[in-house]
Amino acid sequence: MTATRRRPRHVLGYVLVAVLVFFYVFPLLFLLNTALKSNGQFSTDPVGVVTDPQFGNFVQAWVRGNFGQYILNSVLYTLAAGGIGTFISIVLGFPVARGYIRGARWWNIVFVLVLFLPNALITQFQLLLHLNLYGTQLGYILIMGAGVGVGPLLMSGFITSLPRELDEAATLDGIGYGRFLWSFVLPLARPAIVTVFILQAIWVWNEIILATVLLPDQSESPLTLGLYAFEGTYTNQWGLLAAATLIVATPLIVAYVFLQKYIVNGIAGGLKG
Amino acid sequence: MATTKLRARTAVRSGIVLLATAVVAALTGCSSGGSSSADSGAPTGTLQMIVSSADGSDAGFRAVNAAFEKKYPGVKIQFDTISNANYPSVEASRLTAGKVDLLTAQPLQVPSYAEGSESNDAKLAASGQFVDLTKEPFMKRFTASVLTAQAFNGKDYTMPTGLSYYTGVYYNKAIFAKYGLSVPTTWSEFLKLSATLKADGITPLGIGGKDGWPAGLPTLAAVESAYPTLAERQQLAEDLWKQKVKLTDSTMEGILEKTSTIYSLAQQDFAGVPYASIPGDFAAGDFAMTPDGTWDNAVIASAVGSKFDIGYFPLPMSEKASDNKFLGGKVELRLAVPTSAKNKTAALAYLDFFSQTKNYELFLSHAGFAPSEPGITAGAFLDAISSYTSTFQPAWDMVWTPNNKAGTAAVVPFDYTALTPLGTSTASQAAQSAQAAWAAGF
Amino acid sequence: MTTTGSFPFARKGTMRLTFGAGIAILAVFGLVPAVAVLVISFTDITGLPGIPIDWIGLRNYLEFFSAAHLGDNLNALRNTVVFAGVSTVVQVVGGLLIAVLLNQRLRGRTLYRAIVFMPTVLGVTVIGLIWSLIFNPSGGPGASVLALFGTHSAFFGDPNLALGLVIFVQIWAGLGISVVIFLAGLQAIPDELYEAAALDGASGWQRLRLVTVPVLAPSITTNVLLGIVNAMQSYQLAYVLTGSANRATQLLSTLIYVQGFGGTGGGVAESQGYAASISIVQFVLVGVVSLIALRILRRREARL
Repeated sequence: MTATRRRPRHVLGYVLVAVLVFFYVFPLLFLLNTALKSNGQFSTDPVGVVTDPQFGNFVQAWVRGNFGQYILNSVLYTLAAGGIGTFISIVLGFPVARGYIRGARWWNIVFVLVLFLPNALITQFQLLLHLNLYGTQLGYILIMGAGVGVGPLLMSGFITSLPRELDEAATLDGIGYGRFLWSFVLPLARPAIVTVFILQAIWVWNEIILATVLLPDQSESPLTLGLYAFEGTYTNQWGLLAAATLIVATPLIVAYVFLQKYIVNGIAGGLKG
Repeated sequence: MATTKLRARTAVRSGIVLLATAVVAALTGCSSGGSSSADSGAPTGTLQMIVSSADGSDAGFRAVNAAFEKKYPGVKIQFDTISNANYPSVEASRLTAGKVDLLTAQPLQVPSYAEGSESNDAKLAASGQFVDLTKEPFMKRFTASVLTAQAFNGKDYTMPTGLSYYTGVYYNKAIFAKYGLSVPTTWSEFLKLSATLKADGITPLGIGGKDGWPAGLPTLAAVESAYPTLAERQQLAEDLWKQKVKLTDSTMEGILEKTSTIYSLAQQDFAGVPYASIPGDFAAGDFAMTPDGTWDNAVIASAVGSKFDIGYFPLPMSEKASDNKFLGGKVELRLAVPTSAKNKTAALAYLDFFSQTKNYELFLSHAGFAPSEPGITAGAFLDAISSYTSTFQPAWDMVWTPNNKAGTAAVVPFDYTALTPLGTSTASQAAQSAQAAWAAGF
Repeated sequence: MTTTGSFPFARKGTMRLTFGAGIAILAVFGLVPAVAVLVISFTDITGLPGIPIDWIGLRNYLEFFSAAHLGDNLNALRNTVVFAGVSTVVQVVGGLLIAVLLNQRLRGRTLYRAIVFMPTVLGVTVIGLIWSLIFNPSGGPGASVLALFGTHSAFFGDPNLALGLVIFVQIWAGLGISVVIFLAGLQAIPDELYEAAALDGASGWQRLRLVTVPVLAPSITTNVLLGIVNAMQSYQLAYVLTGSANRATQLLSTLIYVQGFGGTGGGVAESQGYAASISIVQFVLVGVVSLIALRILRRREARL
């Protein structure tokens, strides 16, 4: 690791951070404020500060949203689909970035196209139905895993910043493609890989409509389906919905914070070595 | 290298084969629903049920489901409640996969002049995908006018779980008493009452305009008053479709003008106020009345608490008191049984169970709907408005069929969203643009 | 930019295998259904059983481009362009600056990163709620602030302000993703580059312009594309904040939703085939814009 430290810009940095944090924390406090209100309190005074905080809202939201039953499913889908998506991003991004595959230019365009494919709910449903994968966790995971979004593009962009000499040096040492990816690219590209995983994980974790259609059995439902319990035709139960949303969001935040340590400067070490 | 290209090509080729298979299969309409044996006997097995979610009705269904499972221990109900926005996709996929026995559906009959504008549920009913319930004994328990209103091609494909009315206003009885005001029965009385309130510094109306549709309720009330009977409303719809009348005619434009007047009586910046904050503002006394539906009764009552008494009356948009006598409404959630259901026995038994007085009252106590069966005690609020609801009057939006091919300004077709302050037009401008959008659809 | 390099490794087997596997999953479960959407846009498929499906050719497209819908479509297009343009530019520039800020060794930066990241994991419904409350004309903090200045506003209800506010919320909700992507890209910049620049006498701003931005070029490209795509495809935020019938904030993607499923304004549901055709139109539109942006950005990348 490099020993040189950039001088932190004390005052200016913290001032800017303070402004930024206020910009974000104030609305988030609103969310917390709402999450602590009972339904009656919200109807009476939607905007004001809560006078009788209902911490029980979180418990009630957990129970009514059936989160206990669903959370394991969400974890499974997120890890599996995130893993598949990240795998796809790497094995597609690397050869294309390096130009080892023919028509790399066109593959790049595919990577961009993947960002905005039309909503294919009805056709994906028919696909799974005909593959006999409708209502199965495997089918759902495959559909989610294929939703790579920005992954290949991001990986491909990051790989171009890895020097080619690395590949050649590895060959000279007799290392094959597979081992090279595993032992060299993975550690070096860790920030990008973790980012790709995080981005896909957010999407899978929060996906509600595909899950509702493709997984009719409640035992297979992810966390997000519990949120329906609080949404209505004319109104929603805002206090409980806010609490439930915070419950659904918390694991992702915790995971993100935990993964932060992988998004640190790893390139410098690689170059020096 | 050649082999790399070959691999890519193979993947692409197999993809195309898969695509072709899927498309061909889809186009030949491969069905999956089996026919279930027509048992008569106690229901058993799983009953798969999906409904459009709402706090009250979900609780109501759950209560009835528990009672049903208690009576028939062999049945397990799989109850899924889906939010409104996602319900159509789920309904379509479950029906295609044959994985639903009971669902909420709204097949609205489309008159012959509007052929081609049927909603999905209407198409399903027309092609026999819902079980015909007309001859079922439990249907006799329901109010005749309600069954007429929800009939499709003269048959009943759904069971009405309740009603809601929404062409009226909630009012603050304390404010009315304080200023010696009584419930208005004509448009002039309403305007006079509002003027009195304004002179005393009280905002007459509160509307949650940000969500769009709450600002359309007064428009529906205006249509209700201008065309008081169901036959007149149906005739209006037909005349508009056959282009015998125009949206710029005086009565039509009058509807928009009256809506504009209503907006002038509403609170400041109402176009940005969310619907969810109206009960609180009403409870705080920010305004004396609010146009809303009877579904919101529980929420408004809980917001107001014991501060003052609440009442509800039809918004009188006509000069003749007799035109303003009734509330327009709709049939709320309607339960249907698909013909592809695997457990029809249980589904029909459930409908029978649901409509029994004791269970129906249990459902209504949670759901907050008005009863669609006669002789049911419905709670103080609904009893107080019973004189306005003695005959069920489908509101305009239940009678009107929008034209896909016309512009969005002609959806209602009275384009209240264009009126200031929601938009930037006057009543006549809005009427003209709506007429242009409507005519363009032919 | 991507030059076909000679493959340095001994055997190509692993590469072909992994590449093939990746492509297979992506193609079967992602690309094939998307192509199928194109196919069904030429039909009147409803997605319901028992209802016949007919091939109707271009009729869906003709209906979308018909004179009756032209006004609505142009309005939605105009709104979408403004929405996409402003939100993308602000998200990319703002995201870059914030990422640089949060990359400094400040105390508690993990906390700050998590805070900025939070909106991206909250659902749209709840984000809509928060900002509806904040900009509630009857008593929200926004109204209170304006009251200090003696004015008032309808915020989302004001046809002139509504789109701007929706863009603001979109930026608030989307900055987190830009920051995350830029943070990843920033890790690829070795400290030596900064040191060398500092030794050459470059100021903070110059280091930003001359070192950071060029190396971050791929991340900038990604974020610009992501911003464009998200802005052109997201309808839920505008829907939750202003309803589906508000002409001032109606986006192309809202039209897809309304015409495909019916909005709360009482719209009628068209066939899924029609919804598919609008999706394809949107796809082409976003595609054209994105590919143009991609070419411009890639050329700049190459130059840098």
